[in-house]
Amino acid sequence: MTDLLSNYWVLMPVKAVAVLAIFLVFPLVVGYMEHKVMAHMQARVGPMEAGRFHGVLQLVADGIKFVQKESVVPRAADKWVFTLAPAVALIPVILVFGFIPYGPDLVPIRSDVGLFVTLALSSVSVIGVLMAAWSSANKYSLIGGLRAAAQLIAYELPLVLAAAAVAMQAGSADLAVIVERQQFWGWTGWALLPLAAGFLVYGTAALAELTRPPFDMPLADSEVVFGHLTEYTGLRFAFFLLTEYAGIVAQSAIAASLFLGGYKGLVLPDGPWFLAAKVLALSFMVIWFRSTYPRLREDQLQKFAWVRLVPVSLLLIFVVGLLKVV
Amino acid sequence: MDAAALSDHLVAEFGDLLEPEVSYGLLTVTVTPDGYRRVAEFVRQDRDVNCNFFEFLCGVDEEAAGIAVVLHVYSISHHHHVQVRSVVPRDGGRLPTVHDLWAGANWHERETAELFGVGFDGHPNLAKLLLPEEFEGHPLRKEFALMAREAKPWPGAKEPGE
Amino acid sequence: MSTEQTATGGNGGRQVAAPPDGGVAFQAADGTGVGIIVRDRADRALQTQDMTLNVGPQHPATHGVLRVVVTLDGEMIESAEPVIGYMHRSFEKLAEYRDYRQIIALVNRHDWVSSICNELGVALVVEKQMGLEVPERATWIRMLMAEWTRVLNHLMFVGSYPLELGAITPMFYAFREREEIQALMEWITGGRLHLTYCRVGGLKQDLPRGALQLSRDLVPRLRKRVKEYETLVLGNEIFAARTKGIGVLPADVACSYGVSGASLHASGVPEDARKTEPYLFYDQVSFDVPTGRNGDCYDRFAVLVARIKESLNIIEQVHERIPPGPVATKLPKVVRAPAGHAYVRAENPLGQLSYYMVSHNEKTPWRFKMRTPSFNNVSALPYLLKGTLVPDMIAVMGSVFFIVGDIDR
Repeated sequence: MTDLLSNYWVLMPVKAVAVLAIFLVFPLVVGYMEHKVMAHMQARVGPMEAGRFHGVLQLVADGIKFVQKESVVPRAADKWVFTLAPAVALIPVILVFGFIPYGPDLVPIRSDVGLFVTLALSSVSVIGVLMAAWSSANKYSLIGGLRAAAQLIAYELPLVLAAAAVAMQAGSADLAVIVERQQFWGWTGWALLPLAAGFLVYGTAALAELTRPPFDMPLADSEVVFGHLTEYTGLRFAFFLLTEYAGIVAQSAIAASLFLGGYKGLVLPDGPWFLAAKVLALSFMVIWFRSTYPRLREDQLQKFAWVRLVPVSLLLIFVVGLLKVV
Repeated sequence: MDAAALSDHLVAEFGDLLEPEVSYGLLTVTVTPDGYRRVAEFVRQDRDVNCNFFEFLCGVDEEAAGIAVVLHVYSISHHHHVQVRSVVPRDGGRLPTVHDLWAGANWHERETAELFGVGFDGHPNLAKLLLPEEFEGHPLRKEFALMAREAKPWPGAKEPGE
Repeated sequence: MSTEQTATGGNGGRQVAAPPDGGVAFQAADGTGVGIIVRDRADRALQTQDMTLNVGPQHPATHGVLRVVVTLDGEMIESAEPVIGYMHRSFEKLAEYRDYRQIIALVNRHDWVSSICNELGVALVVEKQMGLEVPERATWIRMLMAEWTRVLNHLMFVGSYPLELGAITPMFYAFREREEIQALMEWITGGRLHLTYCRVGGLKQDLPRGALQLSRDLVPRLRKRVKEYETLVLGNEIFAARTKGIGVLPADVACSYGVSGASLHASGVPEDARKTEPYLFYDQVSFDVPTGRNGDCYDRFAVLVARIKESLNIIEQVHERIPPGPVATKLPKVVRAPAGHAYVRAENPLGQLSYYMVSHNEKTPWRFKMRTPSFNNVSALPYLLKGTLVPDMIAVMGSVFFIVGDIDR
């Protein structure tokens, strides 16, 4: 069996299928969790009908609904760019799932620069957002898209800097090695405090990268109808939605791997179940933020990134580097 | 000031130019269109009257006499109301605008212009406010018939027992 | 891109210092702004331009069919012009063709969230002109219903204003409270939205048995929840950052526009018809008129929440004062108001509502002018929106608290 699996041509499809399976299942779980958690926070019950037991099949039903919708392209829209935008936004996120360490030896793609590859891949989705905004031939999409571009570029910096601080602490940019070097709750020693601050910086920047509240100005539905997604319907719109939820899962997984000890746990042997639990906990926080906070205005958002997060993350790198040397 | 004292104060200032009337505790002064602007300015700027709060400006169709334009203002400091009323002829009646005295008059004058057909000199933009642009006629005039009543007579018009 | 130096520029402006990347800059003749005119390879002039954006009539943020035509320079608003009239139903014309008693069912519908307060105004103006004496019990119950309606109206805006800023949860909490109050309203009057409870001369019917006790039980529950709104919404840092200092309305400008209600009180003017010209029995209950200091969006919202608390105070006092007795005076078969004109001013939840009625001693009024609060409040929007950013436009528009039916009648 192991001989068969060590054959590259057998292993590769198995890995691809596994990653695709995770990509298709986990965002749906998080999506269902969002329905139910937000509902209970808002004094209501959420979906109860689809799938008999408390609406478990609600998102499956939504998927079927999206698939059977009419595919509409506005007449004035740039047809090719409009059609390709969801793909450009979605495919990098699928690829990110390939780099996350799920267990002690369960990394689909092991690479010396795995961390930076994942961060670079999540930046490619920005292009998809801009393509969607510009090609929609709609003033609201344009406003939303411009806001999105400014926001996503601004928050790249704290994201990368905080991740770089972790890479410095671990001495490697390989995600598997980074998890290896942690305890089950995260980092130990003097590095714990600065890296806890780094966790907060990374978390905030990741929320902004996903355009989740309180950073969802580009999608602010009371102002720009739905921002860059205004003209999208049907399956293309479902792909953008999938990008958002898959992004939440991916970023939570990366944050858990970087700061919270990844697949490490106690009592039970280390494995993907601990990573899953941490991802679900972080997703719960993301959903909690959505139901609590109003959205920040665009200039307040930018100020927060440039004036607060970037100096903090630079300081972080300095402190972590100092602690490493000392 | 109560209505009677206010009435005396205004008559003392303008004499025969205006006719005061106190009805259910409210002072209404009727002026000619020529004196309208002077009275409005006085009501706004005089320290004892000081009506700085704009309530409304509307028209009332007085049939043969013309169309009465009623300007109703209130004083926050003195807690009294004043109505300045001026009757303009039905065709081509015009009054000076008061939107520079009370900014709220801007929209009220637009509404009165389109619903009654009264012009306001000096108003920056007398475009239609509530009605669609293609609408013809002045709906609140009495000769503008309500279609529903033309189609079917009102049962309430008959006295009980008829 | 090839650049060109020309001595004179378009639109009669004068040339100013050239920008560093080439091109020619001109200031318009009236000095209003600087436009950059650059010439591309094909020697065509490219110029920056303002964008005209239509907010509405279909838009998630404008409550109903209000359209604001906004001229944008980037994200800054240079001018905003509300276009109204999409909901004009000609109430004033219709009122001239209806019996005095039928108008009550008509005026329910301009500010549809505060139905009793509208009906109250009509009943008061007709009773004033006819000289009718309303029984005490009816007046106290009218006060009770008016204050509950005020709480209903304010709760709606307490829920929908944070929604426009992105906080989706207070909406659900506010509507949960509204459901409880509407259950009470339905028990007493039979209706949830258009109550048609006031009649000329009193009320439609007496309170059902147990309704007063339900009302008594509801007050402490609501008080607790209103405290929640203060901590959850007013105490939220992002909410404060989005609303403090935005949309400042100075007191004199507010008076000049005729802005009333929470917006006027937030600008520091404590003008409330219930205090200055008490109608019903408002002079026999004690309550405060909360005012703000800065006249910004935060103050308007804070005043709204404070007004809910004051209304709950009034309701508690009214509970103890309702005497037994009849609830309506017997009206003659034909209701005619004597010739003349009368004016009544009431404090609607949205602001000051006045009815000016002219009668020629007929069965229907001669002229029935409804001075609705939202009309004047929204006419102040061009002043408020000039120079703000697009996200602030939403914050300001929501904070003016209007109902579109109230604007257009």
